[in-house]
Amino acid sequence: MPKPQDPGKPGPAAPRVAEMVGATSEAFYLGPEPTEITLEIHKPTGPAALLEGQTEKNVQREVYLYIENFWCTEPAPPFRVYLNVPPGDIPEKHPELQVGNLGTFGLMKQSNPQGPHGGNGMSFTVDITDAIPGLMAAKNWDSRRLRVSFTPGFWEGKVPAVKVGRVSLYFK
Amino acid sequence: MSPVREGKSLRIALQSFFWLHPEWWTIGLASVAWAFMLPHTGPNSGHNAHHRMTVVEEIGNWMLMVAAMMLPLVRDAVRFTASASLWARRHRAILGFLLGYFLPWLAVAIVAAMLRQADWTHTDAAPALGFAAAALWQRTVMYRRAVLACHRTWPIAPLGWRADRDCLSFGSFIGLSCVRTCWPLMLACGFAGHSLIAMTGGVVIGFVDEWRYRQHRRYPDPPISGPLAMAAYYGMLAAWKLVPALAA
Repeated sequence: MPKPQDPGKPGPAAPRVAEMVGATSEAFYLGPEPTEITLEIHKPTGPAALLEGQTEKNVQREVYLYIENFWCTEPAPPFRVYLNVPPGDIPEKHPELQVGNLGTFGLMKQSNPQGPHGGNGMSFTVDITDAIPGLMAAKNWDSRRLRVSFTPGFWEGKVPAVKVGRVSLYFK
Repeated sequence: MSPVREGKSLRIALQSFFWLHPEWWTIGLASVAWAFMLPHTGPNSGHNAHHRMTVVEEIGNWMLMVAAMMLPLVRDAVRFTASASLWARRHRAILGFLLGYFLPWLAVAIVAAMLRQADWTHTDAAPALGFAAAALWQRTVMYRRAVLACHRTWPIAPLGWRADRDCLSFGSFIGLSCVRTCWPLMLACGFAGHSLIAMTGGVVIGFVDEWRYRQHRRYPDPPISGPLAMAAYYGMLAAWKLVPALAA
């Protein structure tokens, strides 16, 4: 607890609250082929806006990709997530752009409307904070737009259509 | 602590509260609804069941009862709606959710108001039967599925008419799930003439069910002692009024 007579120490600070800055507008499907979606990134106007220009104070903005209502009633492969894959390229050619892997264990159970999870599907949070500086250094970061690609992992059977309710981006 | 620092702490505490709890005004709406209901429920608490109103008055009172009893129970869904929206449209999203939420309840309110025009719904036996039905309903698979649906999330578009549509759809989905969960309980409270005892009992039963769901996070097996106790109370009231009639 900082003492009032010690002005060098920081005073009480507001909590870090996550602010949604971009999301897809409609649900989409993943399949055997790579799928790419684009998020429009809006300028933060809430708590995340307060962090703008505070890098000199060693306050790093956390960035999260949130994949919601990931839904399928058949067994499905895990999916790899990539950011800003160059147009026309295969995501697998850019392992440096991979930010996460979505495991599908329990997906059928969580997608069953009659099941114990009410058919909500699965949701994943991918921390992409550490990936942003690399993208910026490679001049592969657009502060207004983010492209997210999904590719299925190894799977012996037919890859079913997996519904994704929404992909959203949060600054914290 | 210096007054300046104290003022800053208070400002930050308030800011944190409003940031972390965008649903604050939903709880405020529920409090206003209670404030409107209390004068109506309190003084006549033993005779509410016999109090007659027009269809429009019944619908108005029903919706106030829904706001008072149900809004505190859907605070998580309201908070989700806000956090899934762009910061500038968080409260607009909550408003859309609430409009959607009240729609299914309005349909039930119309049916309940029509039922209340019948004489039998103005007896103490009617809420007793309603609470007994609520106890039975809580033991069915339909009830359990409805409770799970009450905790669903919904993809919400970030902007434009799609965002408004999604908030309305999410609100009506949760509203419909709440109707499927609580219809016998709310009918019992309505038949009790929105009495303070019935409404307070209903809220306690709702919070206990919610707490149990949070504990187990799967098919809840709610205690039915609450609705049964309420059924017994109104059953005794009905029997008490029957005794002189039988003696005569």
